[in-house]
Amino acid sequence: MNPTSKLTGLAAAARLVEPGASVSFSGFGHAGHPLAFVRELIRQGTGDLTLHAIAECWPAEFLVANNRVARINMSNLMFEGLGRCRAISRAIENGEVEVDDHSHLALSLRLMAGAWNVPFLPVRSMAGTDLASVQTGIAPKYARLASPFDGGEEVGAVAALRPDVAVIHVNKADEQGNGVVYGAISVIDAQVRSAKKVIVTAERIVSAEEITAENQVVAVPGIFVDAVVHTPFGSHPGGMYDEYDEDLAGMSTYYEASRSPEALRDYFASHLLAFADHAAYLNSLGSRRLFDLRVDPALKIARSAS
Amino acid sequence: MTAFSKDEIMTVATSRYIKDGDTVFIGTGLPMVAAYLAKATHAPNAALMFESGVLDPRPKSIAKAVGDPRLVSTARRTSGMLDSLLMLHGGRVDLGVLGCAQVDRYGNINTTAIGSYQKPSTRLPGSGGANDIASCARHHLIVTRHNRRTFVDTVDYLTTPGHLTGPGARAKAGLPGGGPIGVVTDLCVFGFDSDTCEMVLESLHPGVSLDDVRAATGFEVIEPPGLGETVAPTATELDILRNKIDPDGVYL
Repeated sequence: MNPTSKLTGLAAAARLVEPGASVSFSGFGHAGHPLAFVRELIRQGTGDLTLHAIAECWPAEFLVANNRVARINMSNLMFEGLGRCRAISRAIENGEVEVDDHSHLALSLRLMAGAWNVPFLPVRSMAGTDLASVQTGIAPKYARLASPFDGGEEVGAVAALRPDVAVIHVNKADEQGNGVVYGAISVIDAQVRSAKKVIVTAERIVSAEEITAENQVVAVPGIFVDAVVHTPFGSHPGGMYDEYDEDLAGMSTYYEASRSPEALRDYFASHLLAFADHAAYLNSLGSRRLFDLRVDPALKIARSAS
Repeated sequence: MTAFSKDEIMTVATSRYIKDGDTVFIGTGLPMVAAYLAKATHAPNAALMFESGVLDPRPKSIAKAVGDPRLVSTARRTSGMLDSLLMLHGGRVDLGVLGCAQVDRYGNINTTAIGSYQKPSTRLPGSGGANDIASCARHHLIVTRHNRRTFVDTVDYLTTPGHLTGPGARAKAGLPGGGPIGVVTDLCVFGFDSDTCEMVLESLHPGVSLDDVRAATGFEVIEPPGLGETVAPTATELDILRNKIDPDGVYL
């Protein structure tokens, strides 16, 4: 008998995120963010979210721009090469979103502590700075403690986090959610292992045999996964390593719109709410534009020859 | 002497801090260009590490971002953030290179918020890996443009540790790394006094006066005995920067 498939649609998967939930998204820089999922979450109206945001600039910016975020445990939110995430910056400056700041490592270790089911992990970063002394989260993030070994050396410690949901975009996955990610994996391992529910969106759904053939690069173990969604071009307008490049024009359209709340409302009306689902969104971009973004050495040679 | 821009002398001055064989933790922008220059000149065995989990890349063209695919596709090793930051945490990084929005005389950096933390006048991107680098790298270097908005008496929020409140403060706080060893700006190079841990002028860039630096600095600038001039970029360095590393002028 075959194991039960976890394949579902984007709408059903997005309903696993309840209002008020804490969420963590994959991605780094301008690549690997599950933006098709985020667009569906925005369509459904899910709000009052808490983000544990290490490198999820695009999901966080889209959600904050649509007033869906109440608080962020963050380490860094910016658009590399472009500048500040303007909607997030405005929301914090206006006091609309509460934040608690960390270093990248400290926030990653908070997720890792959740993943390992321990109350805290030691860390040397953040000592002596406002990242340690200014604590504005719902629960404390940082404390100092004496080592039980070696003469009681004092070290910093950060508290465990267990996000309600992690949403991870992968190159390919089987129907049980075993997901392959090429390139750098950012903090996917800690996100998957700490979250209470894991949703995988995948560029391609492949056989279990194909996953087994590359079982050294399975970043997402299927045993953690609750739902799998086939989501081609799921990171657009960002890129996905080994699949497609960033859509620089598409990213720039957003970034220009982010200069004012009014322009942002227009942007989301025409680039998100105008489409009932991800298929309609892709259809609006057209196959030529999507094809031109594809990463493929043969295509590159053909393009440079033409 | 070939004419050069402010960005070019900042880049060259930064590259000279990178020694052959160093493991250097770095972000994008001018510091990355400086690291490529060091690898192309005096430090071919320097290995670059990025918080995205990329180790020792040799890209043919300059990367736009730490997450840029061309870093991944030319790296000797690709992993994830916890892997790279824990190697840093373990003391394996010789030099980190950091930018800043505000910096004080002890090299303490703010990249979080201008004004109050909870309702800032300008919210900035936050620490990212910068605090981890400044906490744990053997040493780090600060690279920034020079003006009174940046060089301040007190940072509004202390994101990333310099020498904190002065001598002994880092050790007391439990920070393993040695702290900042220099500040490279578009006007000059600062070092840090070994007794007071305060920024001291090391050299002025060609054509820059002490008064220029004082006018752009929000704390007292101490003139050391025998203040020298920053060594200008050589024709070879400028050629590599302009024609090999950044021919499209993305950064310089």
